[in-house]
Amino acid sequence: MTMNSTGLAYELQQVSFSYDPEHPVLSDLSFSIPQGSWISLVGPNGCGKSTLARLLGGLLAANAGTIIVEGTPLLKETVQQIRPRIGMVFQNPDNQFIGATVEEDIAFGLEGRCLPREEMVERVHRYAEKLEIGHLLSKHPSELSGGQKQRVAIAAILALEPGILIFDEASSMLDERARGELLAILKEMKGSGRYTMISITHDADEILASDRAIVLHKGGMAADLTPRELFGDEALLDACRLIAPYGIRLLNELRKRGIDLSAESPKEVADAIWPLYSNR
Amino acid sequence: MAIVFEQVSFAYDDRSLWRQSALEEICLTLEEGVFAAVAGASGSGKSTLLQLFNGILRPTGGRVRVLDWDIQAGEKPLPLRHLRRRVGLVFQFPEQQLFEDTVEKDLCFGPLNFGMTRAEARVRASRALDMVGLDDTLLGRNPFHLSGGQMRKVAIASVLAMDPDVLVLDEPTATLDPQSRAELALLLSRLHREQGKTVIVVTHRLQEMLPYAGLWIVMKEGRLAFQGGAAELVREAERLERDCGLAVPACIAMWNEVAGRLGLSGEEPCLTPETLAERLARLLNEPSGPGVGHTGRGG
Repeated sequence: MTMNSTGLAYELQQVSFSYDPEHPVLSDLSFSIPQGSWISLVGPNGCGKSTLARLLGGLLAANAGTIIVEGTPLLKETVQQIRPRIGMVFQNPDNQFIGATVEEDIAFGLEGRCLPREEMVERVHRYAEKLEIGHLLSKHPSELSGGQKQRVAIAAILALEPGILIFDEASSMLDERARGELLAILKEMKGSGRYTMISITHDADEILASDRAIVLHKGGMAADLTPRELFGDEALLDACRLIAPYGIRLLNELRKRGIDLSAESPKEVADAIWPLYSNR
Repeated sequence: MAIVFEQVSFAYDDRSLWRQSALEEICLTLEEGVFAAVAGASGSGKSTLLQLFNGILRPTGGRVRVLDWDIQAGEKPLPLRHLRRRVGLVFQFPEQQLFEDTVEKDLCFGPLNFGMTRAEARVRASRALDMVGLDDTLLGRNPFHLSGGQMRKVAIASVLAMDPDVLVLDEPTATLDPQSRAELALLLSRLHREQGKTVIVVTHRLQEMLPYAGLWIVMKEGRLAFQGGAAELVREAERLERDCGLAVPACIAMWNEVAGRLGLSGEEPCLTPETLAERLARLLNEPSGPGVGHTGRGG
């Protein structure tokens, strides 16, 4: 990751946006995201999350305020230079497939970067292997499952080697199994330290895995806190229409009944309950 | 009987070289007024199954009976128009079902199409919108300018507006926020309990429907791999995960682990944080005596 002097991937200063003046979507947002961190953007349906993702990705321009990306203000003159630094993965795996095969799809973005052929071939294979889709390179998109398509979408984005990745509800159309696999990929990416990641998500496990949650409500910022703080705040959870992970909810219910455990996984809970039971 | 499948098979492109079997010899009885949930890995035939419920697909083998209709392979059934009013189908990604330029027109389309007056249709539209937790101020908006989650709710409301007897939904909660998902599950349960609707839901998130569904169906490669109540599903969860690619939710994993350790496996499973915490609190407050001499493995 190339560090800029501020160490910030994003700096937003009083950013506002509306599609039409009667329905403002975002108003007066200010926050910053350090490079290498993983942020969850959360909030109820219709609170402006996806709009904010498009602003951060340079796909929409703010009506007011400033967005600074890795030290450079995002302007009409700079957007072409900034956009290659940012990769976006969207919700619907069917809407982001361009090539007739997986290989072509991953290569498509690279062709736009005018890379030498050898490097393109090398990157296609390297990132396909990373996402465990190397055996699918000759497949047509219709032969893939939703989870496999999202892997292709991520491989195609990572092959462009962006420093910033924005996932706009990337797991919400996947089944439970594929969702778990995608989460493992995100955790590994975070662990590599090479990416600043922004997840727009309702998924409790994904939020829990991130460093920090920024909560949007009615187009403004309602809170900026750690996932644990978020899941401990029932009023805030209600406001952004989230539900805490099952393990945390169970602990809260036990605590209300005078039983204090610090475990969350089924095995840990069973391990922690057992001595209480046998020593009562 | 709401729906009876007698040895139903379905193949896409039947009678062609590209014939692709999706369902094999399904025998299934769904009583009127049941709340059933259908689970299974991607490609196991769940969505194909649902489309046989209101005649969008017709069996290529066997016989489907739905309400008063009898649809047999190779025979031309009676006109299915009225069946479709009585069996409302909400597809996966129902926002793709929207097509009008205002929410109100979209919601009124079904009722008007089935012969209601404009005034009646409006009442239905407003009531259906209220059911999914949206208010009348959205009626004049363009559905395509709403957020993804709001579009989803409008699309579901458009099927509710037809007031069908049988409601069939294919993953209605995907892409909604968690509380909206819980509310939608509760709404379905209310329609089932209070209005006697038959509800059939395909879901990947078992946790959401576990408190409500009386019957569980798990599909595997076009066949029925499991049919039974929630308690049986919980008992067989491990096998279904291994054999059918079912994603076992945290509530089942937690219950099975804790119940196994504490000797509660024979009981009705507690599948919400509240009921499980209550059960554990009760257990820890019981005096230990010879009758509870379960040794498990030592702590």
